[in-house]
Amino acid sequence: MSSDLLRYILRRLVQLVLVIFVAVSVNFLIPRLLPGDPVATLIARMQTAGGNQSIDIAAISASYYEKYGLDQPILSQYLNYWGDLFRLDLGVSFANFPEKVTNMILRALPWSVGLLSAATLFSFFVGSWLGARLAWPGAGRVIRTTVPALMVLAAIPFYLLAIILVYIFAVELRWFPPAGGVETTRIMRFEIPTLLDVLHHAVLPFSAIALGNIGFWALGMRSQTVSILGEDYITFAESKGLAPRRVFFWYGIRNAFLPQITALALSLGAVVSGAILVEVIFNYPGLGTLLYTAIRGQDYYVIQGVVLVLIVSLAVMLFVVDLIYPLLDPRIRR
Amino acid sequence: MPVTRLSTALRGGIAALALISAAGLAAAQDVADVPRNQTLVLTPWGDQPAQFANIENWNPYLTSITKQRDVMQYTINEMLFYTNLNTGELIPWQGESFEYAPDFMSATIKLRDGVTWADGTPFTSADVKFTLEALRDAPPEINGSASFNEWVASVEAPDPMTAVITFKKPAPRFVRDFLALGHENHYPILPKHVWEGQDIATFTNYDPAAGLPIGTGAYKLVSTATNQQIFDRRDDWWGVTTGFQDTPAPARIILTPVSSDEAMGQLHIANQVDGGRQLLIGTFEAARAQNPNLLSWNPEGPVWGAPDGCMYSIFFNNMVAPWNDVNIRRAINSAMDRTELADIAYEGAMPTATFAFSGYMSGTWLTPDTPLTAKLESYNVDNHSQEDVDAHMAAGGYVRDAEGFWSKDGERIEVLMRTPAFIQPLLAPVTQQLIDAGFDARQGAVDDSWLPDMQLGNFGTMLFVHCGSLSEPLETLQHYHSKWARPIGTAIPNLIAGFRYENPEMDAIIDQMDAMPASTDPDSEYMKDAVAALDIALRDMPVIHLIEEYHVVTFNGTYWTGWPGADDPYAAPYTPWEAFNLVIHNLQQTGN
Amino acid sequence: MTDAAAANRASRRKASRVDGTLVAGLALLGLIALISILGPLLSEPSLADVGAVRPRRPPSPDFWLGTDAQGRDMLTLMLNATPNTLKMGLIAGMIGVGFGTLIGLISGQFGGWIDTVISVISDSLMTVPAIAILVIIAGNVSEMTTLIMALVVASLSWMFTARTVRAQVLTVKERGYVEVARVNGEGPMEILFREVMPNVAPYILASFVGTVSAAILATIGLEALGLGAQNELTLGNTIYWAQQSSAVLRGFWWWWAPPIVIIAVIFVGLFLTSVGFDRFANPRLGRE
Repeated sequence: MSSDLLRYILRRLVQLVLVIFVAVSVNFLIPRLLPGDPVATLIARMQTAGGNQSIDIAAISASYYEKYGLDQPILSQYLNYWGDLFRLDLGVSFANFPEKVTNMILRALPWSVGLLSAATLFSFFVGSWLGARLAWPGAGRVIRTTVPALMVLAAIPFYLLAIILVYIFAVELRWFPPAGGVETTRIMRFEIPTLLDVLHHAVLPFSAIALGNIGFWALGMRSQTVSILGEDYITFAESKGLAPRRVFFWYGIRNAFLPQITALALSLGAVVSGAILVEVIFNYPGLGTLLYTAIRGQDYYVIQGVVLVLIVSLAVMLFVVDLIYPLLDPRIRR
Repeated sequence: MPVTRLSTALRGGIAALALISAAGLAAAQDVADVPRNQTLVLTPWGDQPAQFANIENWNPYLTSITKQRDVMQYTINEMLFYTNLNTGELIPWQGESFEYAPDFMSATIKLRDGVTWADGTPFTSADVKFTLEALRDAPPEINGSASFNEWVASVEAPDPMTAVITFKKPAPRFVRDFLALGHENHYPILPKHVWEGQDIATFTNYDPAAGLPIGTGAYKLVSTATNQQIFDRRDDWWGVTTGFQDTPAPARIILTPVSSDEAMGQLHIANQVDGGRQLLIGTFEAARAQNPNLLSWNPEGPVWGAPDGCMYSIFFNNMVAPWNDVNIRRAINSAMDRTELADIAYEGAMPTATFAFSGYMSGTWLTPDTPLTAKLESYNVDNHSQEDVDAHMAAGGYVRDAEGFWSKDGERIEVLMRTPAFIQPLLAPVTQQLIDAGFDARQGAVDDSWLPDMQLGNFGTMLFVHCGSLSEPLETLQHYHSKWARPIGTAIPNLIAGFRYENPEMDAIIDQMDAMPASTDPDSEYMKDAVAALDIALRDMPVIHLIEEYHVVTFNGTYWTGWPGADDPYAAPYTPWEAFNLVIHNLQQTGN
Repeated sequence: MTDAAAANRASRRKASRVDGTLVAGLALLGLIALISILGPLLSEPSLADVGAVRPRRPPSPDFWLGTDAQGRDMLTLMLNATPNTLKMGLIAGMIGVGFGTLIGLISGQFGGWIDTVISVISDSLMTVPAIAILVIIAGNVSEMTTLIMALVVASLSWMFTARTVRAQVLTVKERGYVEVARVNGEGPMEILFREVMPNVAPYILASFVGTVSAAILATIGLEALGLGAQNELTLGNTIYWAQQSSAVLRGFWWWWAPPIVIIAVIFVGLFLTSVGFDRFANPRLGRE
């Protein structure tokens, strides 16, 4: 490995650590700088839950402040926060006291990761392929009409597409369930009917995200493909008499694809933002819904936990992409 | 070729999605299959997250665990007594009867013979003594501990079937309020042999291997996950073996989360759910058009639903200007067109209200010729009139400024109307009516900041819910006692009294009523006090009541029949209330 | 057909297509702008007051788009909500782009540790899902207004502009005429504004369209979650209320379809405009 590459990786690593450090710190600070007292909220919530009864507020307050170290100076709270993070302890939910935030996130995570990764990867590859086909000479009529339509569709926020999909396919046609992750009476076992049920419920949210993204990737890939079409190596490959399909895949897609990967990494934040709304619309039991509920309930530790998971995973993904990039691009590798 | 490629990608993506999703779910612990028509599917009440939390915590006394509101009281736990709120009738269950001492300083409870816990241990007065005393001594965050500490001096168990509660002060309504009424507050008796030696604030009451959670109820927990909790019928339930009751019809009860009105409507249409969360009237009617088996309390609309004991009200912060001025409070009352509010916000599905006496009182306390009814009518509270607004504002020395807004000494009265999310539909129309009456009114943000702000008194006007009388006038009137008020900046002990009202005259009347049992006799001391207190409440208007909260509690008649309704009012229809256990025992299969 | 003729036709087609996209985009945006300007003038705003008309009526000759759950005329609501939504996007876009440009210029011009600090901050902000920050802030102000929303959104949408501008500054700085200016004794500020700015301007314009689009996207998302400005009429609020009232299940399409259509038109307009701009600046993209 060349020393240049090593330095590149090192620099990216330092940047990753910095990004995580800044994100964690900001994440720690924002809820504490904003008005509102989480313990007061918790107790008030108890009052509503407990209905018509009196509660000794001062005593509860004191006991919770002590229990969660909120009575300590902010600097030691901050250090404790880091210590807890390394133990993967994200605190407890106030709205669902005494549930651990880590547990709540771990239970919601598979739904979101499953839905989002499938929908994102699907639209990324399909979109890129369609974009390349559109730009490549000799694209068929179907490609030339559907792909631009998909591009226009991608301009519309995909949570709005979600509403339209629910109307058409859940309310009018009744093909797919409008909400939830599985049927209410479904007993979760590792077996085919459960799997099919999960898939059946995932179709609409998946489609909303996919439909809203395919066009975006097609657009990007199209520009990339167009810009390499005139390159010497394409002309050279064509003049060598290689089969057009081979030129398309080996010389076209492969080279145009690289910038797409960077774009994918950069756009993940936006995809996650939109997916939160899609999950809320579909009552889907993932991180987005968890975040939404926590925000509505001022459940600080849950908000912090979810946001942290989002930021760190996005930062790590960016880092990984940056690492993979030189391996994929022969120009940089050399 | 392209098509194949595409579908391969599609299949790969979907398979990955499914695998990851399935891996994240706790696989059910050896749960048998039960046909849909023997399964009762319910959802929790109200707006709830799309997933359950605390799935391995079954401590019914942790206030923050909403499960106790959701499911335990009609599956695992039972009550000493139930109350049919529609009639006030007391229905003995684990208990057989109770009796107060003449001075109301103690109560003797007789238990039913043959009641056993799920593990076979007999249910005795030792359990009652253990539970009530544990609650009396419990830390403040335990549900009800403050109240039990306030009232309970000690409990004796002279024999296994008799418990004697000694009070710290005369308690003529303790048994009803804490051991029989079961309106949102649940105080189940705990099995002493399980809970003794455990810390009530941290014990999770969950250990499937040991059979926990244990109650005397007809159902046992067989599976708990974030998307579903499953309870199966117990063949050895004491109610059947003693001949007290028949076997309940549902072989299985499933609790599933649902987070929106629309989602609940869809579940009802698809027969995926049998009851639980309420529907908005429009959703109910739309869903019923597609699934005629759906039913609510009343056979006809627009008031399909049943009262839940609460009023949507405007709470004034009576400790800060200008809301401490009775003239402005009366003016705002006159600015309210309650019928229009009910129509816009709830499509006419909720009746208008003038005071926080719920519909459950109307058959006994508020019949046409009672003193309370006469007092209510004399104030003509529900009377939308701009002239009255003008008169009240003039009386308070307010004038309209150049832009037509009410102001005093050159300063405009700003009304920032706040509300919790669950009353949001009222926010816009109430604000609009205030604007129409000349107030500079705006809607506040709808989030959870109302909670601490209401507690600490950082608000002027708040739309809030006043849950009051179900069985006697005192339940509402006591909220006007100044023992609930605290200086601004100090948290109040009870949100329902969040209007921070102080009046020694009122306090004296309430203290008197507290020590005597309720009486509907027009000549009784109790009734005279009630009328006097109501007079003060209506005169000062520290809080004004707009609409009575009626929910379109929706049941699905496809698989189950025997739901409570106006024609068969054997229990109030609300799942979060204790008496819903009576509904479980009354259901029958339809044969579908 | 000769080769020349074919090429000629192809290039004509190309030219007309480039124009077509841009024209279509600008036409859609013009339509929205027209609605925004004329709508409030032509409509009777009091019909958008709560309780002004009978609630929950389907479209009729009196109320072309029906009435909403709160007794407001949907058409009036749309005519008055569109400019608010647009205004929010424009304010956020201008502030975001302005700030981003400034940061990008500073970063590119001065380099060194300033550049490093700015890069790290903007990189970490870029990984944050904007909606997460937005909801935290939205949940903690006593009253949300469209202006606060615009400011919050702007504070999270300057990074792309800053990145683009920085990259362009670095490129421009290497060019000969900047070197010449430096030799001629121009100070860094003079170079920045006289020599660098004019070259960066087209990129700022392009990122403006993108930022406005991102800002509208974020604000509508926030409103659809019920965290928007309650006291103002906006398209996102309308969608929120339609959802809260189960409009889809009830078949009340006129509660959710009009705002979605208008939003779609705005976004498609912005999209076509930016694609049109791109082709204009980079003619190669016009090749099909």
